[in-house]
Amino acid sequence: VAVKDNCDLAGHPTTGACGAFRNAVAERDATCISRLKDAGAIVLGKTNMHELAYGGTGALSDFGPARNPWNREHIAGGSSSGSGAAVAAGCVPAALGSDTGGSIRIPAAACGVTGLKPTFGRVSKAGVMPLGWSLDHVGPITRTACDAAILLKVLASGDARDPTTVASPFTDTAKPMDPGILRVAEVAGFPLDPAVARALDAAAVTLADLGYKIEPIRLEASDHAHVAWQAIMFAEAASAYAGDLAAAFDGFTPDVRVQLEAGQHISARTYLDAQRFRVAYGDIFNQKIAGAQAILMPSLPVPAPRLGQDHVDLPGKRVTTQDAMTFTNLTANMLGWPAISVPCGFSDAGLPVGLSVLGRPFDEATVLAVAKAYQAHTDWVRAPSV
Amino acid sequence: MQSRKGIIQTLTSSGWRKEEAHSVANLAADISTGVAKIPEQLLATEPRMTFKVQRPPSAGSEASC
Repeated sequence: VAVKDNCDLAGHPTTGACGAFRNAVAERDATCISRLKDAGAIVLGKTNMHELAYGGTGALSDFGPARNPWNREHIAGGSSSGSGAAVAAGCVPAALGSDTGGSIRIPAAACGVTGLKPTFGRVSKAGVMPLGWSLDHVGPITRTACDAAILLKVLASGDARDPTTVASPFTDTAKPMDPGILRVAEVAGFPLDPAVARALDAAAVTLADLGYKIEPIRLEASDHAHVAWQAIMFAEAASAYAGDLAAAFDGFTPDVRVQLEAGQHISARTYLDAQRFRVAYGDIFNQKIAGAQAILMPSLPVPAPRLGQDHVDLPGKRVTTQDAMTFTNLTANMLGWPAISVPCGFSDAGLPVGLSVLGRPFDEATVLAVAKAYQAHTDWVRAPSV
Repeated sequence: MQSRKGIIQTLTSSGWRKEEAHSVANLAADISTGVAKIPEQLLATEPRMTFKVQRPPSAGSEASC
């Protein structure tokens, strides 16, 4: 396996792809790595990432940008950019990523592989550099959902080093689950690139053919979720790295240090209101998923943008590339619910498109069952020629 | 909370480049303004101070399938 360079690997630097941490050699393994090693995994190396995991493109890194194996002029998606690219390119069968606003699912979608963000508390974050403590998750990037289930079984555990974890082993389904209701979410105010819309429509048809009942829903309050997510992440990251920013100002790129400093100016009132919204947002989603097995969403509204592309044009709307990467994905982080991105097609330019399946907390089994059923009847997990 | 102008003055006086100081102030202001626009009915009575996802009674599908 490969591991994202924000996970401690004893005897090696944990840089977070940030110049300030080039010499930060870890004394012990992160819990996620020790669990993989105990299960017999061999760590082949560490993977590139967006600096401090503070961005969804993977373009900003002390090692240089990660590139997409399907087209090297395009981003790999971030922040677990190297993990997505390494699995897609066939360097490793699995890699660890972390996810604060989509950072496992974004590179998985951009690179045409599978990325699973487990429930908050399912996998220990001990020994993994924080970004937003209450939003951070650790999980696997693999070629298939079957492989993701294998990794999750190893990774899931309570951990005294991470008090947010829950001592509840993950048991995968032994046989296919009966298909139920899936709700396809239209994110209000966030149109999709036509290639993505076509791929998602086709995925819904495939799932309907497999016996799932497809129901459309509309997700409101996404703008509020976006800004509340920013407030929480900015404030928590500012707290985590205030001392490092003061001690090694030039070790951070301007983009990251601006974000870290901005977090210093988020008031307690703003942070607490964002956390209050988060609870209410969970209530909204409990209603949206009631009676259904899972909610389907686009992993990304566009195929992977070009390196250096600051904005993307959606039908009738121009958004920053960063917002395009995170806008739909941050929902699962705000909720703490499990979500998986699986490949569901390609654009005309040959870039992968991803479908996300969002499920109830600690019900990764259902999320994986939907993903496995879909992958058993499609062949979108392909290998780029590299 | 410090005003946008106050943030810029504080940062530039402590060595930040003016352009970056403006970016910091704008980001912080945008986020604060955005959160302030969330309607009261979408704010729960208590924040989730220690974030921990609760396992719902219905999430027993692992064992049942």
